[in-house]
Amino acid sequence: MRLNNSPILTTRNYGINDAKVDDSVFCQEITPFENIIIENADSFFNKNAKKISFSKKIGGDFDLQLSQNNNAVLNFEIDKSQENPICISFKFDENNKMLVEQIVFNIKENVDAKLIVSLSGEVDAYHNGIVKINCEKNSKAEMLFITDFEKESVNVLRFENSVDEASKLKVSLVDFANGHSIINYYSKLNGDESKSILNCVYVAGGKTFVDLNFEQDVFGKKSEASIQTVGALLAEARKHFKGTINFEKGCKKSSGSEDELCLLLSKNAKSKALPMLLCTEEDVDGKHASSVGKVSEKELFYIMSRGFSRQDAIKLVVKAKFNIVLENLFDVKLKQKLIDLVDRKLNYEE
Amino acid sequence: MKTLLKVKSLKAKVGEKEILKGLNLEIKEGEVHVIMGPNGAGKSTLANVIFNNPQFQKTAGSVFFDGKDITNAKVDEIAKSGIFMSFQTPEEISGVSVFNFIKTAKGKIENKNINYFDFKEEMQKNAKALKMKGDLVNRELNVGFSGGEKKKNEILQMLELSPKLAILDETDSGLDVDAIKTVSKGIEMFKTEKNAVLIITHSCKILQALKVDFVHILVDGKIVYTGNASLAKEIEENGYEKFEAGKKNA
Amino acid sequence: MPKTKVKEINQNIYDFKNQDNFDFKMKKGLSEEIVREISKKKVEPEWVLDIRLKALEVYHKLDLPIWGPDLSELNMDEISTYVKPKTDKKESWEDVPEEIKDTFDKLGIPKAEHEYLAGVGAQYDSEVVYHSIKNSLLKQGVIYTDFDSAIRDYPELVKEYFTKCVPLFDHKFIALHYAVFSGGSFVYVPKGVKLEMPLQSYFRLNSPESGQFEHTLIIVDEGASLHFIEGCSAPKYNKVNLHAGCVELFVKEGASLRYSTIENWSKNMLNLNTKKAIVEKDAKMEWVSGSFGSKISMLYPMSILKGENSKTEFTGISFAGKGQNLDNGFKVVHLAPNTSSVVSSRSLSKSGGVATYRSLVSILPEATNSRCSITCDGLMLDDISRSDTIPFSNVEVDDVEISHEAKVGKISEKAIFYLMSRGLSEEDAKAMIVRGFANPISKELPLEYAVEMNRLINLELEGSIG
Repeated sequence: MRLNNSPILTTRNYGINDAKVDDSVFCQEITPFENIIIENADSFFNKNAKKISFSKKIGGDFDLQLSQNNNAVLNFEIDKSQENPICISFKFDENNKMLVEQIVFNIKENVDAKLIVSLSGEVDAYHNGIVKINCEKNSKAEMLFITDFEKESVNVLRFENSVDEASKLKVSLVDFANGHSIINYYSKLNGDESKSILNCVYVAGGKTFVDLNFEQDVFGKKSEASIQTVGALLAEARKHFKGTINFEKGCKKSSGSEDELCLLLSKNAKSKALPMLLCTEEDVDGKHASSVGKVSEKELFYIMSRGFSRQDAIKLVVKAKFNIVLENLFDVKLKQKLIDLVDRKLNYEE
Repeated sequence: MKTLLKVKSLKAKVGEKEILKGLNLEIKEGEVHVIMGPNGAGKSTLANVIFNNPQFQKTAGSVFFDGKDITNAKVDEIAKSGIFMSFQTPEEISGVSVFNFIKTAKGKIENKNINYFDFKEEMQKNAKALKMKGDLVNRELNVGFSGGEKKKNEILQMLELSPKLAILDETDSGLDVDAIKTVSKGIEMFKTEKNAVLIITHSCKILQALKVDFVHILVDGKIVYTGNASLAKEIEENGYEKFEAGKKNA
Repeated sequence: MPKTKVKEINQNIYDFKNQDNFDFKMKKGLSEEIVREISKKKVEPEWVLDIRLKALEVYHKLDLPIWGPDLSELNMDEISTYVKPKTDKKESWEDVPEEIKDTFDKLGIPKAEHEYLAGVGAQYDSEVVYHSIKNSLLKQGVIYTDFDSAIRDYPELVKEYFTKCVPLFDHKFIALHYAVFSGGSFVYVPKGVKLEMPLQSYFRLNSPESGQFEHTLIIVDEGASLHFIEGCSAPKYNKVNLHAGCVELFVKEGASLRYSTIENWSKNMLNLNTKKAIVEKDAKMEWVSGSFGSKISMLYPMSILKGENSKTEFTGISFAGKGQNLDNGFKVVHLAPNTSSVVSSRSLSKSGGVATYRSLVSILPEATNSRCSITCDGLMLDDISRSDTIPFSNVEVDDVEISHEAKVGKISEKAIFYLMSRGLSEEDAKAMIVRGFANPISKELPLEYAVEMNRLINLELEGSIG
C-alpha cells in the first residue's frame, strides 16, 4: 500500500514520493470507541454534528473508512474566548482500541481558542483520523496534539486547516511514534496577514516508521508560514520528511520558513528528507534549513565534563532541541510534562 | 559661506507612524554639526529620509542641497549631488568586491572613468590610514565583516567618494572605542573648508576629538534646541530631560 | 518604485546558422536498422554494436520520468540521430573546411587554444572535426582524442571503462545515448601528471531536427590532475533539437579533476545530459556548471564518493529566461568513510522562466564520519517566473553531518537602497547585485570564460515606469 503522496514528485527510486507500508496496517473491522473525555467545551460542542468532507487524501482504504465507517465525530463551534483550553482525551484500552474520528474546530471571528487533543494508551492502538481547524477572520488558535501509544500501533492522521485574514494558527504536534505514524498536515493561508505555524517534535524507536508530509499553501499577502520539525530516531526507526511551502502568485510580502533537524541516536536509524520551497511570487522571503546527524561529540564532551553520563548528556541535548520547538507552548506545566515524557522515551541502550 | 543643506519643515512617517514632525536644519560649507537626542526621537530616520529611503514617506516640507531641490530626487541623484550617508548596518552584498564597488560608485558620482592604478594606489593609502586589513578591499562587500570592519569600510567609502556633505549615523556603534577612533580619524582626513559633516549620535564620546560648530537636540521629531559644543557636555551630565520637559511646556 | 526589466541573454552571438550542409544525415527516427547503420558508418568493432543494440532494447523498456519538466513534445520519430559533417577529423585548423572553421572562429575556439588551452576538441553535429593537443603533453603520455579514435586506438582502455560509470539502464535517455552515441572526447592522464592548462572540448549542433549524443570519457590516473572545460551551443530553430550526451569520469586515488561547463544551447534544445564521476580514495572531483541555454534542461551531475577521504564540490548557476524550464542540480552518493561534499547552487528566473534545483544526497552505512553541506539560492527577477527547490536527502548512518540551507526571493530592497546611496542608478544597483550573485561561478572559471559568462548574463537593465 502506498500512502501520503508528496505534492511534488521526484525520482521514483528515492522512495520518498510516497510511504510504502504493508497492507496489514489497514484494519477493516472497526469496533466502537467510547472512552472520550471532553473538558471545558460545554457550550461549544455541537451535538448535531454531521460527517465532514475532506480533500486531503492519505491513500489506500483509509480515506473511505474515515468518511463512511468512523466511530467518532466531534464538532466545536467556538464563538467566544475562554481562559481554560478545550481538552479532548482519547483513552485507548482493551475495549477501546480503534479510533476512526473526525474533529472540526470552527474558530469564529475575533475569538481566541486554546485546544488540546491527546491520544494515549497502553494497547496496540489503531487510529485513522482527521482534524480540521478553520480560523475565521482575526481569530487565534493554538493547538497541542499529542499521540502516545505504549505498544506498536497504527497512527494515520490528517490535518486540513484554513487560516483567514489576520488570523493566526499555531499547532504543536507531539508524536511519540510507535509502529506506524503516517501524518499529512495541510494549511491554507487564505487571508492577508494570516499566520500559520506548525511545530512538530517526534521520538521514534524500535522499527517504527514515521512518514511526515507537511504542506502550507500561502495565498494571502503579508502572511507567514512556518514548519519547524525536530525529531530523534532510536534503534531501527525510519523517518521520511516531506515539507512543502508553496508561495502562490499574489502572496506578496509573505514569508515562509522550513526547519528540520533529525537526530540519529542509533547507527541503524534512517532518515529521508525532501524539504521543498515552491515559488511563483517574486516578492517573498522563503527559507529552508535542515540538518541530520548525531548529537555533536563536542557538545557531549562539554556536558560530560560537568559530571553527566553519556546517556544523560544525550538526553539533555535532545531535550534542549525539543524545548526550542515547544518554547511558546501556552501551558508551561504541560510543556514540562512533555519534556519529562521525552526523557522517559529516550531511555535506551546505545 | 555657502549653504549646502537646507531642510525645511520636514515631516515623514514610516507606515502610519509619524516620526519627523516638522524639522528644520541648515548646514553651510566648512561646518561640523551634531544631532543628539533620546532613543526614538527620529535621529536615524533623518538621514534616511533625506536620502529618500523607500521605507519612509516624506509627507511635507522640502530638502535643498547646494541650491537644488532634492526633496523628491532618486537615491542615486542625491548621492551624485554630493551627499554621503554612512549606514549603521551596511548591507552585505555577496560576490561584489569592496574595491570594485567603490570604483564603480566613484565613476558614477564623478561621471568619468576611474583610472584603475591611480585609484588603487589612493585607496590603498586611505585603507592603510584607517588601519584596514590588507585583504579587506578584495573581500566581498561587507560579507562576514565584523562591526569594526564595516565601520571602516563606510568611512573608506566616504573618503573615496569625497562628498560635499557627509552624514554619519553613529547611533548604534558610537560607544565602541575603536569605532570612535576610526570615525574621528576619517573625519580628520576628510574635513576641509569646502565640505561639511553631520554626525548623528547619542553619545558625546565621539565629539571630544572633534571641533564641533553646532549641536542640535532632536526630541520627538523636531529640533528643539541648538547650541555650541558645550551643549554636548551639558547633555552628558544632565541627559535630555530638560529638553523633553521644555517641549511639553512649550 | 519603477519596474526594472532585465534583458534576455543575448543569444545573437551564438545564433548564426550555417546551411544544413552535411555529408550524410540519417533519416529521422529510432530503429534497429538506424542503430546498425550508425555503427556501420563508423566501422566500429562488434562489441560496440552489441552495446548499442542492448541499449536500444533497454530504451524501449524504460518509461519517461514521472517527475520534472514535461517531455511530451519530444518525438524521436522527428529527430535525426546522426549527422556527419562534410569533413574528417583534422589536426590543423587550416584543414578544416572554411564554413565549419568559420563557426569555431566566431566562437573564439582557435584563439582560446592559442592563448590558454593545452588541447582542443571540436565537434560539429555528430562528428569531431578537429582535435589537437600540445606536444609536451603527448610526450608525458597524456591521451586526448575523439571517442571514435579512442575505440580504434586504445580498445583495452576504452573497454575497461566504457559504461562502467554510467550504466546503460540508468534511465531512458542514457539508454538512448548508448544506442546512437557519436563523437565526444577521450582523455587519459597518466599517474602523477598534472596539467597546468585546461583541455577544452566544444560541441556545436548546427543541423535542425537532429540530436547530439557525444560520449566523453576521462580517466585521471593516480596522483594526476586535470581541468577539463566543455562548451556547447547551437543556433535556434523552430523545431526541437535533442542533446543526450554522456560524461563518464574516473578520478583515481589521490587525483583531482575539475570539470567546467558553460552550456548555452539554443532555446529549442532539450538538454537531457548525464554526467557522473567515480571518485577514489583521497581524490577530488570539482564541478563548475553554468546553465544558460536550452528550452528544457534536466541536468544533475553526480559524484560517487567511492574511496575513503574522497571529496567533491559542485558550484552551479542556472539562468531561466522566457520559455525555459531548467531543472538542474546535483547528486552525490557517499560510499566510504571520511568523505565530504560541498554544494553551492544558484538560480535566476525571469520572464516566465522556471528554475528548479533538484538534488540528491545519499549517505550510506559505510560512509562514517562524512559531511555534506548544501546551499542553494533562487533569485526571482519578476513575478511571472518560478523558482522551486526540491532537495532530497537519504541518511543511513548516524555519524555524519549534513546541513542544507535554501533561500528564495527577490533582490533585497535594502541592498538596492545601499548601492543607490553610493551613486548607482537602480538598474546599475540591480545589475551589480545579480553579477555578484553569479560571482561564485565566474570566479571558478578561467578569466576568459568568466568574461564569457558575464557576457551571457548580459544584464543591460533598462528602467521603465510601470
